[in-house]
Amino acid sequence: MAHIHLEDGSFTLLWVLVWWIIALVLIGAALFLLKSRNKPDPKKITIAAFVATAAFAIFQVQVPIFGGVHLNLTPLIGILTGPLLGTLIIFVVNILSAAIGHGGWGLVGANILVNFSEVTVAWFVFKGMKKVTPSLFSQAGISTFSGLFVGNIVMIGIILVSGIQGVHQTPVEILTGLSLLAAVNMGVAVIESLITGLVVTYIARIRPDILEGDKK
Amino acid sequence: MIATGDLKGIIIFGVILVVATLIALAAYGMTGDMGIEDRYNQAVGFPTGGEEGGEEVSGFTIEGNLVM
Repeated sequence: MAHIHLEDGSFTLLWVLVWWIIALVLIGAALFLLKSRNKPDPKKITIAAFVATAAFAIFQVQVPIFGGVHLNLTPLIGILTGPLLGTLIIFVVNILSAAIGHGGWGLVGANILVNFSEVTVAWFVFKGMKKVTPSLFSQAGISTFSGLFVGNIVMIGIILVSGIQGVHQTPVEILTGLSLLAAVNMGVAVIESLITGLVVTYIARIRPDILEGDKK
Repeated sequence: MIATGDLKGIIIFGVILVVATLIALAAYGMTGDMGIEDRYNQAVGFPTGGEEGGEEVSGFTIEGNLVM
């Protein structure tokens, strides 16, 4: 999806460090905010573990759609665990993915930022959507699509700002190429939105207490 | 019987899905059939193709390097 699938060496060392530093600041802030709260809810930790496992597994499976893409489950992470735990989950998933050769290590920082935007936007939109419609399926679906859409915007922004080493394309040409890529990604976002909508609806039916985004 | 509020949400969601699907199909038609890595390489100006394919099961493949 919006997960940047470029090899190490695509960004200069400077930009690799910049994105890594920003990502580590976000992770540090999430840890600080989590620690400053009351003792962690064991149920929430368990949910986080499950979604982390599911997201890591889903990340690695390339689905034969639009030439071969993988789902993210980052919006579902945001809906079920919130942005703080979600930040830690995507950090773990990205590190483990890089460890098995899924993307370069240097891109992990940038990918954390992309996934962070997906998690956070999905969570915010999910919280806000209940004012628009009571349909949980639509709430989850629209928030998933919104998160993945913003993730694509962030991905394009990161690549344009960083620039790519060793290519002769102008920024406008890169923007055009990435826009087409993002448009294809939105086709996958449609599928993920439907899946997330169904998953959230099912969870609400059997365990409504699990939905983080519904908490007042 | 679908409640009015639910129907509103479903309509909004449905419109988003239809528009996104049409745009995605148009972009897919313009760029051709290729894997996600090739799409990124093509978008930024890297050479495409030559990537080793992993083990495939009904079109599904595993990203990265298999440990086993």
